[in-house]
Amino acid sequence: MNEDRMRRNEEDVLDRRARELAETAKGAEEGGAFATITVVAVGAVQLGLPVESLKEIVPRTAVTPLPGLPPWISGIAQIRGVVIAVVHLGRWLGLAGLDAGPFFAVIAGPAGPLALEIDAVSGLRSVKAGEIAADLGTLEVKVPGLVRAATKDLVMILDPQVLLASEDVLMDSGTAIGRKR
Amino acid sequence: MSDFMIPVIMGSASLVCGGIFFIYLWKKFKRGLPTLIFFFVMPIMMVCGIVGYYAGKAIALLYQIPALLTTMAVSFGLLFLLYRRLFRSLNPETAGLFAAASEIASTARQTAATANEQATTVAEVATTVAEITQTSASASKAAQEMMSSASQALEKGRRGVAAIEEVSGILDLIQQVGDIVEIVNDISDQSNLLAVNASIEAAKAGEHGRGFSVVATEVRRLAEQSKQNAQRIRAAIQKSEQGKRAIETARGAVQDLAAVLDETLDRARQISATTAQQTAGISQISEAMSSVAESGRHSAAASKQLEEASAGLQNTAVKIKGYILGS
Repeated sequence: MNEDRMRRNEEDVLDRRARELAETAKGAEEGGAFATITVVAVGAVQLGLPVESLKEIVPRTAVTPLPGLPPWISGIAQIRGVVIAVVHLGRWLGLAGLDAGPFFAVIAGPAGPLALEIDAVSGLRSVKAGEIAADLGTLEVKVPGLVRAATKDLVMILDPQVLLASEDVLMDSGTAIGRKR
Repeated sequence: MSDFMIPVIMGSASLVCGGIFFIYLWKKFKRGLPTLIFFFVMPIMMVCGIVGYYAGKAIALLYQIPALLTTMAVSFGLLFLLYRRLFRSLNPETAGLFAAASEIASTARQTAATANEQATTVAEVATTVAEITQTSASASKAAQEMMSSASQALEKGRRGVAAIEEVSGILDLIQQVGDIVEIVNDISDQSNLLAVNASIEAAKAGEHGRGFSVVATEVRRLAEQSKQNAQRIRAAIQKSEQGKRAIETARGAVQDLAAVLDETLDRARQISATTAQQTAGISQISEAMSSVAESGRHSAAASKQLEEASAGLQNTAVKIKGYILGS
């Protein structure tokens, strides 16, 4: 009885994989893909981080605050033996009052890696061009170019390179560490 | 001295001596019964003696009849005077005897009536005691039944406490399962994160990573299912925590109930012991009442006999009075 059930489950899984694989190939053939993003949440806001810039998502580790840094720079943390700066994305985006997130989204750029504090990870999503909203409205008020696009279901797709290039998180050596505005 | 004079002299001397002796006894015994007996017997004996003597001498006395008649007349005259004096003196005594007999009869009647009332009262008391005995027996039986019921309830309460202890132990195990579920939840979170990272790497690999991306998505789905199931188990465990609190409350209630039943059992034992003592005491009272009733019956019978005896005495006194008055 259990063996039959396990075999049926296994067959279902394989069928589903085959279907999803076929869907992916079909989408690639049809074209029109805008970006492949990892959907994360900061508070109630859904953000999309392009997989090209995203190195990994790790559970939050201990953060050591540094004196004299702006409030959106939480401090530094050690991830896989590398000490990197931790930016509280919600505070930087002006979503004040947010607590420390349980995850770090580590993004990689020319200036080095940077950890973004996030609250949740929803998963990967392949965004089609038709899903992009035409007008961003007032989303561009804080950092020009940071929000690359927004989907119709209100997922803001960020451009991590703009974040890494921002003077708010750069120090003189080019390492992302932040400075006061 | 002729033969004619001898009995005359002897009879006269006897009468004189009897009279003197009568007066002596009259003063000696204060007009008592010996005097009465003597006074009745002696004259009869004297008369019998005289009559016997004269019977033997009858023939010889034929010619002495006048003298004999004279002597007899004198003797009977003296006897009449003596008897008259005696009866007159006995008349007040007879009246006193009649009054005393009447008073005794009246007292005997009162005693009999009192004995009857006493018997009636004793019978009522005996009936009441019998009812109390029956009530006491019922109370004793009820106490025994209450003891039995309380004992059974106490035993069931103890079993209930034991069952609650077992259920509490099971709930403790469920709490341990909850700890394991937390570990499973952490593992599913880590698996989810791992699948996301795998998906990211697969996406970066482009066309070559498509198959791996599907597998990563599957892993992530499994991780989510694990997390959902872990959450369901956690919800169930939270409900079981409520059940544990309820069981703790029930355990306290059952323990309180067991304590109350234990106390009830002690009280029932006390009631049973008290009822047994009460039954024994009532039995003693019943026996005492039976003795009192028996005594009352004897007293009534004795009073009846006394009443009959006093009635007979009264009749005797009436007859004596009649004799006296008739004389």
